[in-house]
Amino acid sequence: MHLIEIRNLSKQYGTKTILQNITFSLNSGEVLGILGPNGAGKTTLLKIICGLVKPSDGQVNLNGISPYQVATIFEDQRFLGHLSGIKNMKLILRTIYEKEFPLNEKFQKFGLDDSKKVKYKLYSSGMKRKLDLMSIFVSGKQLFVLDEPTNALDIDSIIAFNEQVISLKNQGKSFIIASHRAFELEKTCDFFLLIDKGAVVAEMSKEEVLRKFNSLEHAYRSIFHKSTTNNFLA
Amino acid sequence: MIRIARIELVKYVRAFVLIIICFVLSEAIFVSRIEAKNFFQYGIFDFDTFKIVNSSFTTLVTSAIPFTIMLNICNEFSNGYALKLISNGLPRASYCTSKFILAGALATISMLLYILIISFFLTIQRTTYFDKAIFISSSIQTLVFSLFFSSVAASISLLVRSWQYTILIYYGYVVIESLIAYRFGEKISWVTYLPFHFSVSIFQLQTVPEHFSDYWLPACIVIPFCLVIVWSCYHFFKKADL
Repeated sequence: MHLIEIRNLSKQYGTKTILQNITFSLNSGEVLGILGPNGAGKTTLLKIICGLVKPSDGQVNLNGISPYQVATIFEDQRFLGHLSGIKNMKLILRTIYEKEFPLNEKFQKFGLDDSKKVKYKLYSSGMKRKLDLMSIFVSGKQLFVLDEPTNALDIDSIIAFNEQVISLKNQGKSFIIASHRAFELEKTCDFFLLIDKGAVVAEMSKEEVLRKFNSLEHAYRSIFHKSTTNNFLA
Repeated sequence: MIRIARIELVKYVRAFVLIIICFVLSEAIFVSRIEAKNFFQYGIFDFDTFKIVNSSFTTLVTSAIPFTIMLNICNEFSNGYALKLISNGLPRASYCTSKFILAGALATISMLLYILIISFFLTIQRTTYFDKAIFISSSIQTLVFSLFFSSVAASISLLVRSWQYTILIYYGYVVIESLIAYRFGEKISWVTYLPFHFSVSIFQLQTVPEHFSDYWLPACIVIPFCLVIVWSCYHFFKKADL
């Protein structure tokens, strides 16, 4: 039995179709990368998987995973601005898990030791993202649903994040990561889902991508017919 | 859930205290000085002063507490904190329950504040009026009506999740009910028993229940009204797209 099974998932807001007939599955210890242009439906798909948005049609089966075992990161979710980083961490972990976690070591590991008593609203975007990552990696979750997890992170932190994903993957944890950074997804993911206008355009394993297109970026450009110059700036 | 509510209570109390300070200052400066002449000129705590304190508390209970709750809950949705909790494993029902516990905590604080203020006035002022039974019933009403108004405010906030619309719906309904009561109150008997209007009129001592049985009718109106709204909140919040 798969850890996650998504069958014919569709979502409409009024007459507007956001997702249509999405089907895929994921096993323990696998990392799925979701790639697609802006407005393709990536975030909505992730929100449906973690239960924030209800699907209009289709099924999401999280076999043997309780909501407590799902960790998420989304762009539009924040900690409380008037509390310090460490107070926010304590608050959110106590609220969800009703127990204490050793945090000082984690703050040191994530490079936030000097700013753990600084108010969250004074954090830079990168520091906020590090705190997000700390909150999901501290608690031993089974499934990680991450939307643009490396946004605003510096190079060292991105490398550390990728290492952490691979380490957890080897421990049997599963990841679903949506990102625009093809070269980063390529390093950590086993499978890729390319979606556009709410529908799956291609579903490929890492080996398939490398064999057919040489890299995920080339695969993206070939499948979506993009030229080498950025259309937006051209 | 009590633990969650306890952690967040400080945040709510802070906002509540700020609103109370603004409210009490404006009330003391603009309203009470005119209406409670005996109190401000001669230092006498009489029946009129007692009515004015109750009237001020009516505004507190119907406006300040719901306002605090609405702003805090909607703010949690607009800044993404509520979504962070729910998407990381906090059940939606638990989130709702924690908000209702917070609403209850604010209602209890308002009752304690009421008792404290009346006791303070009785201690420092010459008293020509003090009815123990009415004082006790007013204290209980402070708690009950605070619970009622705050749970309604919490329910609307959880259902709507946008502070502009929440405030519009809550105060819009209060204004419409007041207008109906003002316009048709004397002609149509049931209009007097509309939940908001009825709660306020009892609390302001415009209608003083004399017997225990006098409480049955308001209870039969206010409690089901409140339960329906709270149930709707749980039901629709569980199914909502956040």
